[in-house]
Amino acid sequence: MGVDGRSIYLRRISASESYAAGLRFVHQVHARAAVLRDRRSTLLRHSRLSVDLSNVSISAIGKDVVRARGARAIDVPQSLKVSVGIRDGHVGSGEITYAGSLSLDRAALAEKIIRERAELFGIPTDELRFHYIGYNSTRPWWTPEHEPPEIRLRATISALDEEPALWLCREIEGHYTNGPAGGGGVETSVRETIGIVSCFIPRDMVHQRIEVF
Amino acid sequence: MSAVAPRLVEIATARAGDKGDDSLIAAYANSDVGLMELTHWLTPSRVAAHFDLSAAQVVVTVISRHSCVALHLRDRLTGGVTRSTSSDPHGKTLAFHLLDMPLTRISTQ
Repeated sequence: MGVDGRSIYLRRISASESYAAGLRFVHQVHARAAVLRDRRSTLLRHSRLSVDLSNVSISAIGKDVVRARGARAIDVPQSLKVSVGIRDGHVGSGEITYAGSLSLDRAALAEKIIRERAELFGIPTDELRFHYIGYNSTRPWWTPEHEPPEIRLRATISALDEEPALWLCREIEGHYTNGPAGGGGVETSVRETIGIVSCFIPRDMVHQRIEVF
Repeated sequence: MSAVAPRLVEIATARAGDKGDDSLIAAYANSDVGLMELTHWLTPSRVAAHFDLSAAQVVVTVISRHSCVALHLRDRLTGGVTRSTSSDPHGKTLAFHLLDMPLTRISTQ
């Protein structure tokens, strides 16, 4: 994005992309407007420049071309945002698919079995979660009107220690032959997670150095 | 049985973004008339009920210049992008959950 105080976005894009790109850009402006509403300003803080986006207007100026204008440069921020990464333990996840008649019930039974076995093995269950992909994994508080023709059950667990994650992977794998009928397509993974905490530091504390290795 | 209720997707489109554990959703009306309708439907209490949040977690900002209603949903991303174990940690799909909102009065009983 070039900022010259007048036009901040102008490029040629494909027909299919133009609608989405226009929306996405407007969205970006508005999302920031929402975030910064407490300051009563639509201020965008970039490391090199603060920009006032409150008067940005977006128009289609030709086939597949969108112009956004009205952004105003304000100043160079004296503090910079720092994203601090914190080692946050391990996440294990495992997925298995059920299809056809009663697939939702069989997935729910798999969840029940894994929860019971977690108790048995002394695995902490407060961070053990189940997601019903194809049903309501993106919105668990929502109950769909119809049962889906197939379900991918996704189980996840997070802990500082790696062991619960490894345990969960073995449990899901075991459901090929020791769980509800007809489960298939198991995939498992364990990854270390990095949590992010943000803060600001004075600009003059930052010294740039490049190291090639 | 009544006919299927119209949904928000018929008068608007939406996109979602994230900041920390908060979801930011911008809904765009398809027309100027649509914006009035959109503002009518997207009250904090209706949005809160649709996302299983308390009304205090929802901030609604109308940006008429862009026919837009911007929603700020606090603590809806189960820990934020790097910590969430959801199949959609950024909550990008929440935009279309919003558009699933039925345009009928919520029973207050």
